[in-house]
Amino acid sequence: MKTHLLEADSMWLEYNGRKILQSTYIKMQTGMVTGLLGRNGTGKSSLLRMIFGTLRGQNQSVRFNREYIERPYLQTGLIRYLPQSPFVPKNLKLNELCEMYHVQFESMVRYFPELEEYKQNRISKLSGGNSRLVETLLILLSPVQFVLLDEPFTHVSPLMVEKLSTVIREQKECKGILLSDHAYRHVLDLSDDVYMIVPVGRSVLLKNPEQDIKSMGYTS
Amino acid sequence: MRQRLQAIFYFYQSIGLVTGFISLALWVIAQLPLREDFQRFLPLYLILKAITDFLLWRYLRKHNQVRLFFYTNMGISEIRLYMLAFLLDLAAFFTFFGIIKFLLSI
Repeated sequence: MKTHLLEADSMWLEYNGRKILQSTYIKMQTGMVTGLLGRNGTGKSSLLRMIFGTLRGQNQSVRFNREYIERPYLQTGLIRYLPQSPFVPKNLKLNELCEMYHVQFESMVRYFPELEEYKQNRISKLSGGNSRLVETLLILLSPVQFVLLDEPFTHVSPLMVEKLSTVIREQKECKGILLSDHAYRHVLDLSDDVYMIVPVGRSVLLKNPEQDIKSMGYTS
Repeated sequence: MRQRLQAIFYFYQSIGLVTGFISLALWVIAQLPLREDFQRFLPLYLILKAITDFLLWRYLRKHNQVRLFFYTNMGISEIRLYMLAFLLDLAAFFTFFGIIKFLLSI
């Protein structure tokens, strides 16, 4: 299978003169999970939104297979993004949602059989954890080449985190996944490459992630 | 394509009640114009609708921005979403107006 490359280069973001990101670089590749770590407020979510194309910074260059694309989210079948907060309309039914996103409901059920009973239910009827799980699966199982996951393990029980990790491992066979979460242990386990955003807004590719995050003060 | 249209219709449904009420209120305030007076009402109506829909857009953008990711994930830009919702809004009002005019002509 041909490998595809998505690069975010020279990402520069400032708010009212306060620097958030400075010439940040990140490379993603199909067949790989790329981890993204950083303390609160270092601009991880902003970086993800800039890569997705909905947030414009002072400068940015997102390249797909070395070709510049202005707004990646407008390219059919290229990229989808899981934001930190709930984004799915609550009144939609689960099966309608899957149809709109070209995701087979059966593929969700294959990983999480307990979702079967909610097929005809509106999202508002699901618990917070299940709702978050559905949103994460919706993005992960989408027929796109790259997915950006911002805190996919938040509000999800430990057992579900394990299962979600299995989905991520399987899905990376056909897509590139950027994973950002404070559950750094899971991020390290799942990632082939790990980047750290360090003050002020620069990215560092970690050579020895376990040691590096300690020496950078991310863990004690 | 069908899924995108479905999503845009869905978005319009979520704001249609408010924007429909605004249209109706403007029409009532203008003393229910139906014939020649509607021609005079129309430019003012379009301007006020553009302003009120723009304000609604700003409000939703400020308070509910994350919801937009549902649509951007489907490749629908924010501008396109609001422009199409605006057109649907106008279409809904003109359909309503047409029905009223037809009923009164019977």
